[in-house]
Amino acid sequence: MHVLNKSWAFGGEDERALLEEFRNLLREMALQFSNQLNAARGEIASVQDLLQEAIDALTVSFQDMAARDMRATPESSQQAGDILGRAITALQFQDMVSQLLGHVGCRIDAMDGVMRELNTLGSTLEQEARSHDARGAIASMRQEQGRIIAALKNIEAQTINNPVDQKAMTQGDIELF
Amino acid sequence: MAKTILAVDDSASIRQMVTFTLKSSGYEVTEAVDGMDGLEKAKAKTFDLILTDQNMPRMDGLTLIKNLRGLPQYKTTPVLMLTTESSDAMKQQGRAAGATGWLVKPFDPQKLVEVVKKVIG
Repeated sequence: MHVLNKSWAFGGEDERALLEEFRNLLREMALQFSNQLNAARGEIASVQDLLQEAIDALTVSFQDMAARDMRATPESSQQAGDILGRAITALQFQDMVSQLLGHVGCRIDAMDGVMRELNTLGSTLEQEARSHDARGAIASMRQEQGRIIAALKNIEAQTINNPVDQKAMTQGDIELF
Repeated sequence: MAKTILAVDDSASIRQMVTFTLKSSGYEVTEAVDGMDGLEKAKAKTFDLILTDQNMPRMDGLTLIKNLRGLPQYKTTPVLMLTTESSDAMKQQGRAAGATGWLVKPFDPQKLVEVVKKVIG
């Protein structure tokens, strides 16, 4: 390991290898970001589908209610109850939408974590490029490299469980243990 | 005397719908906004049935069930999960924690009442 007098540069074999690792890391980050954004787009599409289905169901229910005289007979009261039941089922889309959006938020948070590490890396690179201590600079960048790798792993950990996988507003299963 | 049910969900609209559905069938319903709130209310008053969501701030449904099962008055009380989570892995976790049953949202009001009647009468 050689120490430069004024500033150090990626001239040696070790430095070039490190630079290559950083390049690979950046490529991996680009891939991860692309995958995460695509997944987020899919979830947003699910939200839109659920919303549309719920709105359709509600519209039909309320049109039915409006077309009937609810107080006329016990039979119409039963019908009103049925319509209300369907409306209650459909209205639960709010909860699903909320949870799906929360999951999208997790993805964004995870990506934000990586971005924060990138910012730190940028600062470190800038700072260490002016350093006279090449060994210290490489150690410092290795540390940043480790943080970025950890942040990338964190993306998967934070987003692995999507609490909503319903694709339509059909009623859910009931299971007694 | 009406059977008492504690409905735990961080979604106000879901709580309202559960309460409306169960009160219409003659049950007395108390609402809690998350697992922590649910646990406090369960300690303050003993309920015949707990109906809880899974994903909630401060304390989730599985943690709530584990805490409830640690209380003498809730060793055998039925606890139903009412959640968007539908994976077998989550259901197994629920079963292991002490859940009595697993209901996946969206729930049908009539079926919810049927299940509650089956469990507590």
